[in-house]
Amino acid sequence: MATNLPPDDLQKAWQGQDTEAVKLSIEELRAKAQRYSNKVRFLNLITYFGYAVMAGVYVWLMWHPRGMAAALPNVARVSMSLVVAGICYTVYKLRKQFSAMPVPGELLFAECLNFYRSQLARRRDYWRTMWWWAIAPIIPGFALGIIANAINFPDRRRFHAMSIFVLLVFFYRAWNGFHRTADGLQRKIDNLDRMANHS
Amino acid sequence: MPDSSALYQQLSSDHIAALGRLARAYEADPEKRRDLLQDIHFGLWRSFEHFDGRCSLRTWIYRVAHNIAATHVSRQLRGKSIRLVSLDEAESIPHPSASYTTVDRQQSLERLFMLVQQLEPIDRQVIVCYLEELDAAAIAEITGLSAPNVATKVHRIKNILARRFHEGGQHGD
Repeated sequence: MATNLPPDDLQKAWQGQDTEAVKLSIEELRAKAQRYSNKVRFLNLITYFGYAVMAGVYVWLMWHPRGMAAALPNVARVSMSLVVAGICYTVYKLRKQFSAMPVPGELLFAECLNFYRSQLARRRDYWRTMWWWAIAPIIPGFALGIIANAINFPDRRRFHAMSIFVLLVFFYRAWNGFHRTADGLQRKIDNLDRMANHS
Repeated sequence: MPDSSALYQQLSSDHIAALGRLARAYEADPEKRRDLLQDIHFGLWRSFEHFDGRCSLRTWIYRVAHNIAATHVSRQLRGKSIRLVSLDEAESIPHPSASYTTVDRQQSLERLFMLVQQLEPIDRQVIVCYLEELDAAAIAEITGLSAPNVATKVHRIKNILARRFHEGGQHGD
């Protein structure tokens, strides 16, 4: 005799299951709040530290130029200054708009549809704009360096052409990848909007 | 300003048990589920600072818990190729029920979890609320969906559950 459960019994089975009874003490909650705040701060610091290291390398190279940069130290300094400025802009955008942060307490109790939509929208905006604030700012510096080297070292034409090709492929793949991710998130948002408008 | 700690202390054993079931609907791994449950309790405590009676405590608790759990699912899925499905798609996914002639309560629950854990967050919220025997109005208040939309989804849920958990019995008789 089959004993599959009809939906009503499934509700009872669901509610009757053994689950872990967790209830934290106020001390544990306060300790968790502190750990959470430390974790967010740590994540942001790691990110900024990474960018600081990158900028530091370029600042060091400005005063210790290598290879072709050594032959054109002033141009190299301007080019690397532009890259460092681009990195600073990226850090500024990250801090202003997209830093790791806890969901504010006043958003947690939003209706689930609105909450989920706002989280998806934030991630979509992050990916949609990423190329402009993470990649584009460093392009002027790289472009100046490549153009100056191409003009002053015409015998290394093949090397310059290969560098430009590799960079263009990287920029294109980055653009494509970021927008594909953003488009996927937009489709989820569109589905939610359709769901919200369906009555 | 309400005292978040005082409100948190008011969580009844019914609420605590419901939160445990909700966490199970969103996370299969026991270790991660424990973390998720702690995150939910922590989120509730934080959110209670803003509780102003605009909705019932139960609605508030469910909203916060589901929102935190949905965020957890989104984070877990990032970079993975796992695809969650909607209720519409779940209706058409083939299931192994036809091969079961006898299924005990525990196995039914396991299969129920497998179904729930593959759903998109919003549909997961509706099905969990349905399994908690909340009515359509309460589900609508929690999720933000319209009442007719909730009624449609609940109807679909009943069909899916009846097909998956009762059809096998009919075949086996």
